[in-house]
Amino acid sequence: MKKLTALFLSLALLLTLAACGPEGKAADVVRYGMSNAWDTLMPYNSPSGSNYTRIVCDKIYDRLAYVHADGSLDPRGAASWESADDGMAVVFHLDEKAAFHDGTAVTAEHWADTIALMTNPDCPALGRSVFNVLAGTDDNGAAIQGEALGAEAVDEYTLKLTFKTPTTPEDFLLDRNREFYVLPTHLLDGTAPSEVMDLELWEAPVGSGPLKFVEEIPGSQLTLQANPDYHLGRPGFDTLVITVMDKSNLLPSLMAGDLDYYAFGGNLSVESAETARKGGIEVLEGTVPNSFYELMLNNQTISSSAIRRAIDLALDKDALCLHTAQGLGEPTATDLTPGTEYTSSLTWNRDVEGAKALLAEGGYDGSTYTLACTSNRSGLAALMQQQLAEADITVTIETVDSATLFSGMADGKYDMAIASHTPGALPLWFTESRFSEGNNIFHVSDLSPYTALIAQIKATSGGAERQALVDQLQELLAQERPFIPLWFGRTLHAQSPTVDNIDYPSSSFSNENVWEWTLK
Amino acid sequence: MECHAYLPRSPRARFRRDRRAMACLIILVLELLLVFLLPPLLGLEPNISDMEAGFWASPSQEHWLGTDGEGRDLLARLLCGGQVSLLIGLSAAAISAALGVPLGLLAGYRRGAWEFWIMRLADIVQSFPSIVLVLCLVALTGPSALNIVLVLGLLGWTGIARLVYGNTLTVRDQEYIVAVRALGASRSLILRRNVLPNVISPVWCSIPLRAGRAILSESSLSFLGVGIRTPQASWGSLIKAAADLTVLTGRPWAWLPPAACIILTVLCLAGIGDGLRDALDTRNRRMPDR
Repeated sequence: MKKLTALFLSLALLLTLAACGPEGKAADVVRYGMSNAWDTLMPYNSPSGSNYTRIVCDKIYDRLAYVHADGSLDPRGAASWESADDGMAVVFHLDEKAAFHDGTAVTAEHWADTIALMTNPDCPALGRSVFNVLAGTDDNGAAIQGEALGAEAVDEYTLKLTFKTPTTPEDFLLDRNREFYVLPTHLLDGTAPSEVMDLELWEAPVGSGPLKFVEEIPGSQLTLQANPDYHLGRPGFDTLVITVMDKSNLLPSLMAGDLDYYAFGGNLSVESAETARKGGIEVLEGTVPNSFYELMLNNQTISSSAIRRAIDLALDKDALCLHTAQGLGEPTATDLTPGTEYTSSLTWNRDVEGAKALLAEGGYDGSTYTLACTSNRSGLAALMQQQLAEADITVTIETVDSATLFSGMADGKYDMAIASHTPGALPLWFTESRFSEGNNIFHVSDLSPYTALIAQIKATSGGAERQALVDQLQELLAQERPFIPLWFGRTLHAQSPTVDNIDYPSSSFSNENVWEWTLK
Repeated sequence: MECHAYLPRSPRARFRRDRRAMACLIILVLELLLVFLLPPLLGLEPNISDMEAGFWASPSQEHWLGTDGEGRDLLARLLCGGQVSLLIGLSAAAISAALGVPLGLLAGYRRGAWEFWIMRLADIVQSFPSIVLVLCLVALTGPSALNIVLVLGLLGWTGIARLVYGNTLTVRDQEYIVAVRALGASRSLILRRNVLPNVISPVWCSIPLRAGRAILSESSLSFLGVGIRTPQASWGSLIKAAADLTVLTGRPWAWLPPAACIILTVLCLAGIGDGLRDALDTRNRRMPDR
């Protein structure tokens, strides 16, 4: 009996030890890391509207096009598109092979119904303002009663979107594609718009994207399965498991073989690149800017444009860019993204004496300005503080979280703040949203010179005429200096040691070509 | 027969005979001298970037401890950060003692409602996880050295008050107190002249320990990002600035010195506290074998 007990205990111990060993990895599983969790699997119900939610929804649901980092477009839900009605509309010819995960074909009716439902004022959709470019909607993107909505199914596979102002297909897709998803409206029949967000469907969503929902541990893990019938091709793996982990663990996990890839595009700093290379990870240098840094200014408390220009001249953008982007960036005098269709001849040079002269001209009284920044940018703020002190501009630094920073700027609490954004290829990617009555975060007293030029640029389809208007706008911005463009930064990508064909740079546009991924 | 021949009579002499405590005291005094005198003597600038040396420069003749991520001299920041950390630690301990001693005396001597309210208040303060409470209060009041001193000082009185309260309870009914009371001495005179000198010894021991804990708390707050205001340095904020895999593994000069300073200071304060306890405790007849 004792021998039997001993044998049994030994066996149990052996099994326990075996279970503690490294987990065997199925050959067809892609382990995907992410530093923040998605907040919903219903793309139009995200309180944060974060890129983390977008990159997850991008896999389950389909969008009209695939946007490359350089601003070029590839077909996705739509096989082709063309401008119509003298530039007031865009006609999308949908891919006829596209189907939802339940086998139902994706039609233009699904797209039109999705837009009609989400713009319905009774539907509690979040982020509805993405639809406000469409005819028949108000500034919040809600449908206006009695007006025809600018989303129409011309035939089974032709969708027509009509806009309030002339809009090219490229302008629309570069600006809004990542917010336009098609929903399985055939599964929503009989549901009141006000109850759409409460459906259990969003806990196990059915989309038409390259991956199908399998299971979710909210805020922690999401398991998705390859959609074998995806119209652009079957992903080269069976399962994708998205795991949320601390940002600092992403690269070590990739190096240790616990991850195959991490969002967004395996981004890593120059500092970490050496560590990655030592760990056997190949590092790819990004060619397209993926970040734009600006110093937001409060034009009410810093009311003189001469003082705002003095701040611009006093800052050493080369040093600031070197500090933060470690050489992977270019200081800039404008918000126009380098490498895109539109350029500017404006240049920037540091001139401390020039800054002092402008301060005298602007009547600077020695006031101390408050510079807000997030904690990870306190070093950058400290550098700015030193540089501004050289021109006798006094600044105190307030370290706050991102939400407080933006609300503080909107409320006029801070005089300046450091912010960064993902740049776009359009000439108005930055200015359009910041020079409007609804979002006058720079507290500009008279927006009309800006809004007039922005409207003209939007109404012009392209070419030299549009470039001339863009130049005018940039001249105005340089003269008034409502915000200070600092630099455009590029990034490095830690390449997956196990997955091929990843379009790393395009991940910054919240889309990933998972249907082209193959396991090595 | 018990021999007291080797036990010096005065506490000061007993403290001097404690080699470990004396070593701790000397190190701490040296540290204070270095931290407060060296920056002005060497003309060190903790908040000026040396762009020629660059960011995260290695130790060199110009920058003995290298530069930080903003190109600032790390030696200057270590010394000036030490001023902040030590001042916060010592000031917070002083505030805690200044509050804790009178409250403990009142609770123990007057008893009744005084005892009830003061000790229940101490219970309430102590029932919260201290770091969470400190974190919330500093976040509410705003990160600055003064606010950290006030929060740490105002929350640290409970331990000292309990110590004084317990000893006062023992002393208040002693015959000599009863005699002084019978002679008509006022309550405040009794507390100052007769009770306080007999209950204060353990407080002297706890002040250095309290200061050590305040330094650690400030370091934790700075590490969590709610410490002192940028660009001011403290030992905790220096470690926080180096909290990155690349810096931790490749640039030990950025975080080892502040970490060593925190450990050394806290150990020295603990050693001084132990020495004071032994020196002031007359019941401890055996000389420390050090």
